[in-house]
Amino acid sequence: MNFKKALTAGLAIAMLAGCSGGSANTDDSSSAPETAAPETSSAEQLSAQYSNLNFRLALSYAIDRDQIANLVLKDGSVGLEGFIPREFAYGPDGKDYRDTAGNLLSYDPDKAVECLNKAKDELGVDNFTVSILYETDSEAPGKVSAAIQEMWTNTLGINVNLVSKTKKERLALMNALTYEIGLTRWGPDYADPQTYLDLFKSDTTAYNGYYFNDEYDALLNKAETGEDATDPEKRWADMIEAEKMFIDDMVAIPVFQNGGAYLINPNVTGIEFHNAAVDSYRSIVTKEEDKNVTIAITSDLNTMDHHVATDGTSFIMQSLIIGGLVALDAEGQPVPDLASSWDINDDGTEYTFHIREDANWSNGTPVTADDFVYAWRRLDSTDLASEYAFMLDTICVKNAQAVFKGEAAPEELGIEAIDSKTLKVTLTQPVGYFLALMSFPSFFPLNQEFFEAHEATYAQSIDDILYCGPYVFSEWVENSEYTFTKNPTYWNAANYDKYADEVTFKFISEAQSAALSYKQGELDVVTLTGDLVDQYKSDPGFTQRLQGYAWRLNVNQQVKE
Amino acid sequence: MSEYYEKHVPIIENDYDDADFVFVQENVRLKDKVYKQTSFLKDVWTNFSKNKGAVIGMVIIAVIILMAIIGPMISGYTYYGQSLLQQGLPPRIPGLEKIGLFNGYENGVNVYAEKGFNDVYYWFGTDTLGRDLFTRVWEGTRISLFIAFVAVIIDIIIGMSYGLISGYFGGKVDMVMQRFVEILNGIPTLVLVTLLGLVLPPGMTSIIFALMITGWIGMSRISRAEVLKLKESEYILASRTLGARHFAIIFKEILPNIFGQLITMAMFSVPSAIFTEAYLSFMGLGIPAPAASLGTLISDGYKSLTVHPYMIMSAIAVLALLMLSFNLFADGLRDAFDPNQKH
Amino acid sequence: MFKYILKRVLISIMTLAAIVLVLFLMLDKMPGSPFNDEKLTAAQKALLYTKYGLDKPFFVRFFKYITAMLKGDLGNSCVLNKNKPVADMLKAPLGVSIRVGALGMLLGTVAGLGLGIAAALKHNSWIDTLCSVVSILGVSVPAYVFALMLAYFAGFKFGWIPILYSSKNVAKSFIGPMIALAMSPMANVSRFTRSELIDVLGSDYVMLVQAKGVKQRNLILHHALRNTLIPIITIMGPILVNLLTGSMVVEKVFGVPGIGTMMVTAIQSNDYNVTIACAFVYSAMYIVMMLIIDILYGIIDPRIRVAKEGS
Repeated sequence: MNFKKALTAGLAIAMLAGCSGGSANTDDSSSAPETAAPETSSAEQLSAQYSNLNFRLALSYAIDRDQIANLVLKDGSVGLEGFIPREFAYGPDGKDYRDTAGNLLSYDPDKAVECLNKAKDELGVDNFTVSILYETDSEAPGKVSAAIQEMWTNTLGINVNLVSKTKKERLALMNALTYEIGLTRWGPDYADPQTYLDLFKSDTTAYNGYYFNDEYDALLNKAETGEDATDPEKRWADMIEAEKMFIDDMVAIPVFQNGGAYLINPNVTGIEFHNAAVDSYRSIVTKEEDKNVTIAITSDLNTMDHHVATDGTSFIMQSLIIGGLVALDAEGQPVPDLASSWDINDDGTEYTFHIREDANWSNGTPVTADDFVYAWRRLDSTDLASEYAFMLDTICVKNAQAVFKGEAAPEELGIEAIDSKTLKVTLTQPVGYFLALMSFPSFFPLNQEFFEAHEATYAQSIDDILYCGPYVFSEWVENSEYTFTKNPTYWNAANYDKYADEVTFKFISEAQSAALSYKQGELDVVTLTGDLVDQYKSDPGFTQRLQGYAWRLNVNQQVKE
Repeated sequence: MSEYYEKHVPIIENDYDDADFVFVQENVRLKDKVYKQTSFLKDVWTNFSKNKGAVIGMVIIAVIILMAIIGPMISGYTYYGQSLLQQGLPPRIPGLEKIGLFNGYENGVNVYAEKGFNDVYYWFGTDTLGRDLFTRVWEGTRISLFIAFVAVIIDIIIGMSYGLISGYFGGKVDMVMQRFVEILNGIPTLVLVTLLGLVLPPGMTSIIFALMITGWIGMSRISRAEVLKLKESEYILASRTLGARHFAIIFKEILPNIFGQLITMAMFSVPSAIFTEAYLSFMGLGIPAPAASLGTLISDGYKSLTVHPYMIMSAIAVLALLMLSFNLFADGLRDAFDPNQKH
Repeated sequence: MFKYILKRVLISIMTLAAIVLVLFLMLDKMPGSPFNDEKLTAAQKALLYTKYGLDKPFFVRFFKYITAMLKGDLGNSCVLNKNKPVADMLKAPLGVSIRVGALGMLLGTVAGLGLGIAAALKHNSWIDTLCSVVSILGVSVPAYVFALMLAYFAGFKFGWIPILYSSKNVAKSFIGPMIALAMSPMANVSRFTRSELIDVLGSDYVMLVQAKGVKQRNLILHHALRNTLIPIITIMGPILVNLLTGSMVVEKVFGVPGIGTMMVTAIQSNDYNVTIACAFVYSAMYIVMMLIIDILYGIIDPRIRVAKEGS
């Protein structure tokens, strides 16, 4: 074989390759918006660009939030009308916060262009290139980002790049401030606008900490700990004003409020969705004969140890088998659970709970105040390093921070057992959402004796858990099926006949197979992705809800290299 | 002596005549027949064109490449342009719709009429953001082909050099180099590529890198085996005796002889690179939106597979055609380069 | 032979050690942290890092992990199944994955052989076309697409197989994933068998056997098939790779609690110990299978053994 000849043969093939390769190249540089030659903007230039109020306003006006909710997401999500979502917090007058605060955002292409032109003049540039960072862990952010990219490109004529990362990478980048615009969400800890508004106080450590507005800080401090803290109406008015300030400054661009689309067997009722708390599956009623309910879950159970859990699935299952001082009713209002009643002192900083006489653990020992004291100290201990220890700080329990940091002894934490069935919690200031949060799994009790006997394997099998909730964990097939049956020792067991005998959670991450299985009658509750909504929206079991999560675009005004 | 003969050897009667001896050729200049000289390429082509499957494969590849170039231009849509109101429209092709094919019906309903877009035609339908799938599929084909070819060319360069050097020098060099290959080969590509996807930023370069990282091993094996075979042959010995340098021997004397095999191997690698790219997209290491590759189109379409099957079908069809035609083509090429060898 | 096996085993062990190092290096470079809650303060994060030993320098962690690993301790999970030993977490899913994978491989190989032989014997008939179609579909339709279509048609439309895995009826739940996984081996084996058998049937020695008047049936069973089967072992390696890739996505579709699903979630949540363990198990399975194939091949085909011993 002659070298030249072989080489020509090779070249012919290489040309074939080059032909398609070359064309891909030319197109990439000419028309594809995402690969348009990136302008070599320095961090300062970018910071200046994003610090321009008119530019941020232009970006906000150019987003059609209704289209994003109804045509892109389709899962019951709605466009945000402000920083605070809807059906989430209710004012002293009982009205939805959103109704009182009104709609602060609008879609207005003309105004968007007007603002953009102003920004161009102010910054002395002809065109802008922005980049949106989004996460790939779930589908929605990618679709929403693509839609926003198109809206901005169309309306404003700016170049929009998309950067996709896993959630943890996105958070890392945002924390390092090495991003431009990031699509992020906030899951509220409690049903109060404060959980949102606090994110942008000047002293926030996370990636939101670039908004320095003394007025905003002062207003929030006045509402939270200052003179208005004890006056609910004034406090509410302060919050509304702070939100308005936030939107006027367009610190971050609110986009949409998470919805959820489900298929729920019409014979199954009683699933309580809470927008700012853990959904409750404690009182499911089924008309099916076998009284078994099977629920598909899209993320797996992480742990049954309620002090280290951080995810919704784990919290839901823990709420079934243990329980807090209070539970939430269908409207999200606290009702007695393990505590039969409670007293609050006049300035709202001391809560005395009376634990039920008939509240017992499944091994027969009574649920006592000491179980709560032990549990809270464990939650706050440095050794455990619980990711949810901050919850104690959120509800302003005395010395929570100091104990966690090891600066104070665990005994100094603001919780004590007056006697075996009386518990006293001391707060540093009145907290309106304190009671409701007592239904949160992090605050559930833990029996010291049992825990110490099972410490090495605590909560890793059904025998390593002590139960005091309406259900017990009866079958644990790892990574697959979790079955709960009625707890005969539950204090309210006598009234529990009407509820489902058996609740099974089945982990299935593929929504399409889950939906097919629902249609066959194998599953009773299935979560739908937006892509599946069109197909199933005429199903009698189709249900939509709103969630407390609000998605926004953080606009980084201090871009770092 | 002559007496003896005369006495003892019988005289045989002449029973033939001169007419029995005829010149087969007389007054004709005898010469070797010179066949028309054919170049190596032509030779390959002759062999190749006899193989019906290979020719069909080549034609399909050519058509796909052509469509990948002109497809996005002829549809009248861009691959990134969204029309949210026109989302989820099934394929509809003028002309064909009259005979009931690609008529915009899904589950017995004309979706176009239902949504009020009577004059709109999307040949392959639209995706969930209302983007034209025809444009996206060809755009995606183009990017997938580009990725595959670049990855394979890099594979050839690295694998070939590695194999040639390892095989030619032998001894300790070969030992070390081969142990390295064995270890790298021991890591399942899937694990390596999945983890790489997390370390690298998403994008074309990362995908090419991930495809390349283990892809060159096959190439290096082939070239090494060939070198081992050739390096003891006389012509290499001659070349060495004449004082040729190692480098010259490797690249001038040995390389041309294995080029055909490498090209064949490359043609087999292209479809598998495209397929791996599709897997990478499913695992989240895909081309960033709104650009598309066959892989991202398939993994996007997959999300609506049970709802709108057409969203995935066009990309799957192109992928299947590419796999089929490249395999046919490579088969033909292999036989053409070396007609004696069956495999 | 013994020397050859010993050499192979040694290399495999070295490879496994190298894999752990590579995995460690890659995870070290992986962006993000296992502790992502937006509400975590820097001090809390530092505390968590100390708790799981993630604050130590790279080589200290690596050395510690290797020493523990030799004792069978794979560390604790820090996200997926908080504070649970990874070794315990792996047991059940690994068993499930191996069973499904082995069944898929078996079904695929047997079906592929059957189809390939039929196609070769009835060269250029409809069965030959079917074989080509199957092999093209098998290699060009991604496993997850095929799995979902199987769930839709065989599971939903016709109700032949259960769509989702159920611990109450494991055997039945394996049918779907098994068929989905069998697709790729079947495609490869059938294609290979077909072309190999056609070659063998056209070879001189088969003609000789034919000339001797051996019946067609005996000819195929005793003479042709044996020589066809040996080379098939060589493609078992690539088939295995496809199978592993497939298992990760097929498990997701059918909700099979296998190691593939676990690895994907572990990677997504930066659960280092679980990721390393899963990736390691995958690599180990692969290496062991390749080792077996290699040795088997050496035993079956003496030429190879001799050649390898010689080198």
